[in-house]
Amino acid sequence: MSFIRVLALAGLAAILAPARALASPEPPVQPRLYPVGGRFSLAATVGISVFDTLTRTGTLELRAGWDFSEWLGVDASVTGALSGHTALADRIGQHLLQTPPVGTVDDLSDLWQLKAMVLAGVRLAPVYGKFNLGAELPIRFQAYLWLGGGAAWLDRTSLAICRNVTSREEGTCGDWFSENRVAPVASVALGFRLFTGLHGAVLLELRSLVWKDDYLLGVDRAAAEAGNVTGQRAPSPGFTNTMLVQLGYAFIF
Amino acid sequence: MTVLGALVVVTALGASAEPTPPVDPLAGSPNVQFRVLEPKPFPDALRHELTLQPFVPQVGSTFTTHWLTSFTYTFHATEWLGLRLQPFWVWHAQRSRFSSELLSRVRQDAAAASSVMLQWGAVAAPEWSPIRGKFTAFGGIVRYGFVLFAGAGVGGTEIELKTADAVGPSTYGSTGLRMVATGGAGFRVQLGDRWTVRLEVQDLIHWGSVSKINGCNSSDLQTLDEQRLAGGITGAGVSGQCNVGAFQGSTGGGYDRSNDVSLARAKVNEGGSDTLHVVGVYLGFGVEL
Repeated sequence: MSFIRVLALAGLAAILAPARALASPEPPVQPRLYPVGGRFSLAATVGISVFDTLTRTGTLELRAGWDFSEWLGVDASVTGALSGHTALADRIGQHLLQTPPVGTVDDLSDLWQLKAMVLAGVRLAPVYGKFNLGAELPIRFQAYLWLGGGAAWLDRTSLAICRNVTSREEGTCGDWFSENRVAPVASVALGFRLFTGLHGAVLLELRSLVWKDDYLLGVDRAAAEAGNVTGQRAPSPGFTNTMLVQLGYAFIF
Repeated sequence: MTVLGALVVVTALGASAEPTPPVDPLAGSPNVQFRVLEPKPFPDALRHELTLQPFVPQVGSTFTTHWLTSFTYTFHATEWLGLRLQPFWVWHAQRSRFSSELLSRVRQDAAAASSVMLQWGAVAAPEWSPIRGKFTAFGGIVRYGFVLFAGAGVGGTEIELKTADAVGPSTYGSTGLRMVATGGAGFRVQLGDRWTVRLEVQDLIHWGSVSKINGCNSSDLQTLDEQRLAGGITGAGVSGQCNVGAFQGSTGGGYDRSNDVSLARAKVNEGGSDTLHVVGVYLGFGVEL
């Protein structure tokens, strides 16, 4: 009796298997090897700014995340940054100081430097796939779009307002006008999670940080060099966009 | 043995998809010599691909801004290697916002060699597709390849002479043909057998000094400047390559083009050289023949 049942099943399989193949020519799809839905993650990244004009930035970020589903998650992060002027910015300041302090000068835009930042945002990851690195190393990945915002601690050192010229000929300044503030920041990122296993992934990200600019116009150079900085705030200063490339690793629990 | 195989088939057909398949039990097995691979559904070898990148913005510009349109012909010699020919036309090239700010606020201008802009060009490059894969997105499967390319070509260049002001728009002078090197990387997505979408980042690199403007060298420009101060540019005594006509007449706004001579002369006499990068984001739509 049992043998007959087995035979019936085998016959059914012989009939059904080709019929199914004909009805559905699509190749079988492997389920996700590394699901993330309902899981917590901790990540650390380092980043450098790209397309620098007047400022350059390096970052170290710690990030915690929660994935509600396979395609939707949230992240919160704390970032510390080392930043400074580029060589081009230093040359601009030097050349300006070498000219006589006559009349007024407008300070340059996009000079705020990132020092620290807290961010929170939503991560949308509609893309999950794989590629082969070489012939035998399949890499599973998730591509995501990140949207969010937070607060940034910013410093600004002027290139046009010097309060203590140490050498006119060499264009050196002992005390550039500087200021700091905390400003709201908006951020968008495109990134990849390259899974190394069930509990880890390499992060690779291109991130844009945008904050409102702020600088002085119509500064009397002679007065500024005597220690009295005049001028007025730019009425429409615009926004500064800083692009970061970030690389890190996420532990997924 | 056959019955057991049939049972396995039936079980496999009826089983629900496991979210986390464990380690492949056949991996490393001495009894497994060949694994079945899915053939490429849309082969590329010996096919021709035409791609139009209608709007390419420059990113990360310092002193100049370029917007261009590009057309790429790719011959896929094999599934992995191709050869691309890419003419491009820069329909918007001008001083960047940063450069304008430098000029107006701190009265500094970029060096002439750093201000040269591409007008048009063509580059050829071998293309390599080292990585292919597929991903699921919004319920469908998309096949893609990661491409790398590097090559060279030539490009026509120009430089701004007069900045835009109340008298009229900017004027430009030709700085001649230059060699252009290129390199880039990006993703190529195949939509069915025929259609492709490419998203690439490409750098067009050119370099050199500004030794001639409109074909006129420093000596020619000095001669023309002296003629201008004497009452009018005649073009007598300059080299045959010097395009005197570019410095004669006036623009639509009434700007006397002879004023460009002294500006051109100052830039040629500046000296120095620079290597310039025009990094663009190329979103292209293609068809494969």
